Amino acid sequence: MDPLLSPYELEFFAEDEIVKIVPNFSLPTFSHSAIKCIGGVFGPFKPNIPVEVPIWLAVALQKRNNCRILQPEWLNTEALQDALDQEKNTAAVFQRLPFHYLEISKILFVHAKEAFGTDLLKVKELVGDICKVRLSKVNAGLQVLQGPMTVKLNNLSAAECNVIRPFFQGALDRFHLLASMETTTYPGNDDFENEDLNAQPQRHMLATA
Amino acid sequence: MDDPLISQLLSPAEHVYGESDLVLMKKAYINEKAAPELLEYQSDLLARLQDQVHNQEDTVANTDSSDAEGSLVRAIWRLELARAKHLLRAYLRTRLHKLERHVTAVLDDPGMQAHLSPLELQYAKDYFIKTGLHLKDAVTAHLPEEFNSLVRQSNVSEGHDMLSAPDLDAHVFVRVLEDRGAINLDPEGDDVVELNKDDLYVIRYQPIRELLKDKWVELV
Amino acid sequence: MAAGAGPGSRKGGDYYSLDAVLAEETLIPCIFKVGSRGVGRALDPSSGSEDVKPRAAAELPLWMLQPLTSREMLSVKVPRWYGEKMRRKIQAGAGVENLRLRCPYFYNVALALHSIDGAPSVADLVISTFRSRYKEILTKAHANESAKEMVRIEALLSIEEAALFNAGRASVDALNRWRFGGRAVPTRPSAKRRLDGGSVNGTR
Repeated sequence: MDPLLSPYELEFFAEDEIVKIVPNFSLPTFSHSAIKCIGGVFGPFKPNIPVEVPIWLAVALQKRNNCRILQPEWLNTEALQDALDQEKNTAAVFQRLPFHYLEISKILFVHAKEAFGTDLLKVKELVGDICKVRLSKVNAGLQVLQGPMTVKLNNLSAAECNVIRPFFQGALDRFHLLASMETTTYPGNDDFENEDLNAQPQRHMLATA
Repeated sequence: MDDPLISQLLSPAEHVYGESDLVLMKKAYINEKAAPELLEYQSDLLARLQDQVHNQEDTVANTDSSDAEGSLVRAIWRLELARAKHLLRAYLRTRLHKLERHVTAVLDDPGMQAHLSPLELQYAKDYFIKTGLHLKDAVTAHLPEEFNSLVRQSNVSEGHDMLSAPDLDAHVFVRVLEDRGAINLDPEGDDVVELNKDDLYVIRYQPIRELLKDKWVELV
Repeated sequence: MAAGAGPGSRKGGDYYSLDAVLAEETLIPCIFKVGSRGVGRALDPSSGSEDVKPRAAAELPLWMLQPLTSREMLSVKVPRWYGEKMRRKIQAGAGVENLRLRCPYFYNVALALHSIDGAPSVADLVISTFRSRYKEILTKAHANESAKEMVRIEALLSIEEAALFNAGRASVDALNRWRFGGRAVPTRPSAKRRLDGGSVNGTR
């Protein structure tokens, strides 16, 4: 079993995020025209009245032609262009985007193409560009690591955390392990006193917000 | 039964959804996946969620699906049930995987044993006995007596030095859930880090171990 | 069995780590402080004598050192891959050294030596080596380098470095596979796979 989360698992998690849909049905025999699920009560579903539901439900309804998924506000060309510009202009900070922005946009690009109309390609391109800029910032940040550190990564998204996780954790683990030689001599049988003393601590702000 | 329903409908969907046991289960799974050690078994949460799954399965079975409305709602319930079960399985499987990896260290430590469910503890013991018998057969039975222990390298070892213990110095990604202020990263207090709500850190597991337990932080 | 010389043993560790076991097989130059009878050929099959004389030089596996040094039978020398020559090379450019050839477990052997009483510590050397190589070559795991460059880098890496480097590559590949679908970007890209591998960027 993989000790790490896969991008597909992150996509599964992202399906709990909320989107707006316009249903074309109602549920007259169900209380409040709503569906009582384990995770909450979803609805009320009334024709042409927008309602917020988790993405998994939106996609399921959409597949049955029971609803239209609406384009999220943060996922239109203007908002994304703004985010991209900001992202480029601030080297030390990550813009605040939905934690699952990559997963949500990937799902919607497949299952809610119509929501984007003629902007679909442009929106896709902008999301790709934002991701690229952010990942190159992450990589620039990785470059300056020099030893054991605690690193602040505010506003980094789920997929971005996940992609740097193995390398970043591995490198920090290794820096920490090696630094443990620097200031301690081996304590023989007394392992318990050997905790933590070691590294010269440094704080590294990859990005602060 | 309608009153809580109405109040739930009046609050934003995110809020309704954010409090559900399913979301708690998801967080428990992510914490479990990311933590180097086996965390405390979430017995109450598991019991509640398993109950809800059973009840929902009954509801599905008892709902008429001959009309379009019933069949739509049943399909949605089924879909959510599949998601809930997937999550439960992923959580339990992740724990078994970690348990197998660290079985000797877990069984060696009563504190760690207390993190297991009764079924997991039984599983750990069975697993240790089965793998132990195999190792004895294949290896240690052929070694001199002073080297044939499964937990001590030799009879001059001062403690159990053949354990496979989790590395608590491993780094993890954490998100801060509540303002916590400064915490010490080492016993001397030479290295201090400020934990404010929504901060995201890559940090050694050991200093945030208790904070994770007390829900000041979650793993990402 | 190894007497706790494994790199992880410091913390109770992972007894069954295969890498720890393999690292402990590394041969380390030593000088016998006292003579030993009857073990000459066991330690060195090419030895002309069954006995080991005082001040005799030998190369012994890492796992053997702790019990012998603790009995004052042995002094441990600095292995050549941590020597002065290496120090100068690292200063001149750590990123071009082939650690895999010098010592596949370059870092774990140093950690283990550090934990042996009386053995020379090479902490500062391996720490500065890792710091330099991290910046110069390891971070390229996440960079857009050519397949050829990746193969070139990987051949230079110690086993510890390669594990880190490949883990970094694998997560980037996993993200790309998920985002763009289709043919996976191979973990170890080869020119041949690239040619018949189709588009790696095509969206579905």
